Amino acid sequence: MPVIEIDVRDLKSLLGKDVSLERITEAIPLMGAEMEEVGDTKIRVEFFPNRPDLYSVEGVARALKGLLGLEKGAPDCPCSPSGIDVKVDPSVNDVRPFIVCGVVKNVGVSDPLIRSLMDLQEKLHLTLGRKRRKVAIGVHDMARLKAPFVYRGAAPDEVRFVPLGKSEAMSLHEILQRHEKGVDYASILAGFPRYPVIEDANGQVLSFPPIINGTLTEVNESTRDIFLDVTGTNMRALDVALNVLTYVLKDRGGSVESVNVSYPDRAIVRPDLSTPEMRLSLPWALGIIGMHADARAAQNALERMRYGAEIQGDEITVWIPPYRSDILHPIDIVEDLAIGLGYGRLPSLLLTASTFGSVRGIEQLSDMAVAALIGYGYLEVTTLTLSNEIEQARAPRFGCNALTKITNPASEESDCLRISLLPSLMGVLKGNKHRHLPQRLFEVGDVARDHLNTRLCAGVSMHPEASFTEGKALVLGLARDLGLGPMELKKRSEPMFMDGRCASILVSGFEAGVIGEANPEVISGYGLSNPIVAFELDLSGVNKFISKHMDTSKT
Amino acid sequence: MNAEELSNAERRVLMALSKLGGTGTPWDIIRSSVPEKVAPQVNAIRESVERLMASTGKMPDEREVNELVRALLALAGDKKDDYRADIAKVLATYCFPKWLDVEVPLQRKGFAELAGETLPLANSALLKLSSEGDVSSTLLSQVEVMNASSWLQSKGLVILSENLEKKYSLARKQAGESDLPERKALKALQKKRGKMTMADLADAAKLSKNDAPIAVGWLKRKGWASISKVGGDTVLEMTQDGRDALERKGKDEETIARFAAEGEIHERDLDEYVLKQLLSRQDLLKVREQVMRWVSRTPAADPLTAAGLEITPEETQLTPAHITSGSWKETRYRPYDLGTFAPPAHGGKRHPMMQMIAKVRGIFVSMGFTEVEFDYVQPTFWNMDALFTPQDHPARDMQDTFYLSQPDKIPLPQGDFVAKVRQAHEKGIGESRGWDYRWSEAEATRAVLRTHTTVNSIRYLSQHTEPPVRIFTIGRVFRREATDARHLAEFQMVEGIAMEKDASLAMLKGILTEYYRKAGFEKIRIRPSYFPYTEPSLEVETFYNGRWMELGGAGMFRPEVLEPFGIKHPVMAWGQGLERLAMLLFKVDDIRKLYLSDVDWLREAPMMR
Repeated sequence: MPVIEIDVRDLKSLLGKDVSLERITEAIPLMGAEMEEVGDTKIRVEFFPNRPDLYSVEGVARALKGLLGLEKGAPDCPCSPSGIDVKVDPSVNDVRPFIVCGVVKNVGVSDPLIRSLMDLQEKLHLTLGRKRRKVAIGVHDMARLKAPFVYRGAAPDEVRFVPLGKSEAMSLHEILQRHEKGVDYASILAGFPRYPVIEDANGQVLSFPPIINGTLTEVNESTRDIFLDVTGTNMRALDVALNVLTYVLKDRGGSVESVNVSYPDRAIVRPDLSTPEMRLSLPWALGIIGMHADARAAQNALERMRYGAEIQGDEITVWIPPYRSDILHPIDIVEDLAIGLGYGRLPSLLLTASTFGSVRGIEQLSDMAVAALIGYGYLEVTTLTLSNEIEQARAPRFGCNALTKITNPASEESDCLRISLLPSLMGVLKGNKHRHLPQRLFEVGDVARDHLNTRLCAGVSMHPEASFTEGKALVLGLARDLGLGPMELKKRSEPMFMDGRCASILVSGFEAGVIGEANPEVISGYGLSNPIVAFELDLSGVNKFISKHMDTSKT
Repeated sequence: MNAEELSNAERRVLMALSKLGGTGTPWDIIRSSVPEKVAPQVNAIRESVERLMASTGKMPDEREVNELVRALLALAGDKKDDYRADIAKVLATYCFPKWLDVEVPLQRKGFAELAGETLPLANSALLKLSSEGDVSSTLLSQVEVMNASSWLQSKGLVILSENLEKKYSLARKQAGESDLPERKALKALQKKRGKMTMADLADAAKLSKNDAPIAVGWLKRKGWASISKVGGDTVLEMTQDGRDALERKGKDEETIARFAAEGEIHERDLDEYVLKQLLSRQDLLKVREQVMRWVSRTPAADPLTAAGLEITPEETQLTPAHITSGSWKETRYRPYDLGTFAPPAHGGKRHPMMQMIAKVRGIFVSMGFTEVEFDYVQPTFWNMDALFTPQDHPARDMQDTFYLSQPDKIPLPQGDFVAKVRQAHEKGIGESRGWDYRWSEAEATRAVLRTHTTVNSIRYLSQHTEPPVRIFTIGRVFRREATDARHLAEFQMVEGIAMEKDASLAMLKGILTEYYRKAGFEKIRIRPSYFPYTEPSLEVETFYNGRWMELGGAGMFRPEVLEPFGIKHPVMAWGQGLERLAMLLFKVDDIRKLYLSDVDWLREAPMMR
């Protein structure tokens, strides 16, 4: 989640009032954010991904003004026409169909503002922009540009310009090949015959979205008027990005002007700074929150959260500031109403319906197995479900044909889910090689057999005298303790166990598990040197078997 | 006080104190309780043991161990084969008690063979030795003396005290062999017939540059020579005292000779004035400080010792024969020495994580919740789409989620809710605006390892759409993370959801308050948060160890999540990962340790409240 660094002095000057740092750091978490670090001059705050409007000190100040009661209602942003036209050529339809633009004049551009803008741009690219695929932003100095502008698709070698960070003109193709940003984002344009460019009336290239701007329009401290372009694949996201930026520059004293963007089939005027209206029922909203509040308190709370709000009777009407992309449903207003009223003032109510708790049958059976094994002196361990194919290759399969395999493993050690607990237990024994013997360990846990969760119970006993007899005695005892009727062993062959010292555990004919003395090759493969007797029981299978064949209510 | 109430060890201490005139150190008591017949051997062993014990922290070397073994074998005589193991136990208990605590002796091969795998009490070994070697009254170790003395003190029969004692010795051996500087100067003066200039002194007396002024100082202090100015020279002249001193050594010189002969001398055996004098010389003496314990008989013990104490036979172990024959009525059983080492007992035990899970399960059930569980392998439809997570959401990246190659696809479930989920994403459902994009069915069928237990909640809700619903789920979830001390790619998550007709954020707060109170967190607070599928959302924090700490997230399911399934009532949900909390409660600083199952850690870890 985006972490933004805030210069406390800058924040206070934006607030227009000397608010104490303490009040600020108390208020910020109330907007839904986490304080990462608090210093005297700088604070770092982590904001949630649904609020790109808070990724800048200007946006934070705007929200804080409401919370601290310095300003109320939706912030105003006057906008007059700039007369600038941007023509969208159909040649961008496939590669990057949409563009919106805006103009902000008389901005007092300072070094901190440039850095703040670049930082905001980066964060918007990453989150809202899905790493520029969905949204990319260009910020330009207007001084050397001549309107109108064209947004069109150009062949890779058709135009050349000097991109930011370079001193020589390069073709679009060369930029993708050699420019750092080109290399980073080339995949977005891969496979398209034409790449998007924005050109002015003189054919100068402003920008090659979503890759890089030209040096022609680089913003510096002498910049006064700014042209914003936002290109991408989703109109709604483009508008939010443009509005977030527009408000930042407005808050820095700029005057906002609109741009006419003409598509082949329609013409639009941007930025669209209208405040969409949403209506919701006050009793419904307060019901969801579970708190009483009169209409005035509710209106006040919403205005502090920077909505325009009116309440008539039971109906709330809110006007949503145009930079709020997260309001999809009236429920989103309800959350802000709750924040405005104060989470801290929420009462604690009790559940009203009566229900009776229960655990799953398999958990009860597991608990019985655990209790029994602890009684036999076995120590419980718990290990990870993620495993690897090599380790699972030797495990007893019980008719499980398909291993659950991961396409994008994070490491070679975990490229699949386990089908048996025994390799995990062998791993634990390996890790405890230097610990006292005897070691008698067990695990009750889930594996994925044919992609379905299966509860198994497995145990190992390692010491110089570990033998099949010891294991058999244990399994017999366990079967008796779990109430599983007569148990018998049937000869079986498993790669993990010694030939002639391995058997299936049959409960009334149902194959419930396996027992055996570990193969010395397997033992030494794990770097161990003591005999090991091991067993594994399919508790899920046993549980089904019990409920099917041994319904105790009938006896 | 009746002599009957005293154990043999206590009696031995009192008897030894009588011999010692009422007061002695534990070591004095041990020494004096040894019968003369075997005293040399026993004391030789004891001394070795004492010496080894004195070097605390340091492992004795192989040679020292062998020496002891030989001494003990010699004591056992021709019965030595029978006693090999016992001897090892003696060694273990007396010499290396620390080894027993940490169970490392088996790393030392030679000793391990002697000691065997278990190291029970050494007393039985010594008792056997005693019956053969007639050393029955010698069987007191320092520990036993101190234990017996403590008991005696509690009975008012002795007083235990300790003080710091100093022992001095020469800092350098050579100091005992050569004369003091002033003696060298005196001898030089004698050769020069009692008079010389200061300038000539160093050469004549073969004194170093440093020693010459020291010699002059002491000559003056001891009055062996007078100093006067003659012309430009400073002249030394021997006095009568100086001449007398040529005949006999001073007390300080005699004491240095004593040091040379005796080595270390206790401060009480030194003349206070002389000691002070010697200490004023640089680097001559070194000091060793030692805490000495003393056991002193009180007058209350007098009648007992006057009446005469004797060692009566006593048994250590009550046996079935004692019980059936009734001989226990006449037998005296040795009081148990509470300080004696007992080997650690390790039974089976639940793993701390599993104890925690069991506790959480208990809390949920006590609050009327029912457990549900689904498979680790899920289509993204359930894991993400049904939870209103847009298909281009970063959490769906290959970077963050484990996608599967086998199975690679899982067919979408049957039901009209699939079309409604699509609608919720594309244009919105009910009053929602939706995410405004083309929803891909193929994307929703991709198989993943579930990234949260919320997949269980929504799957359950899809089949239970009417209130009340109160379920919980505890299970492993998977995130594509690089493993390190703070992160695992697989972890344990718990989640509870409740659907009620009049569910509210305030009711959710009520549930959370009760849930966390049962978990032991009395003081909680909530603050706004964000989760893609809940609105409103909140974060729960508790005041722990002096600061606010995150416990988990919570919220009400978004209408876009519920409406495709026809659910018309609000659903409250909360959840948390367990590992971070476990690390805190079990004081584990590396999350991986929770799943490595170090047997020593598991054996020693206390159980959870």
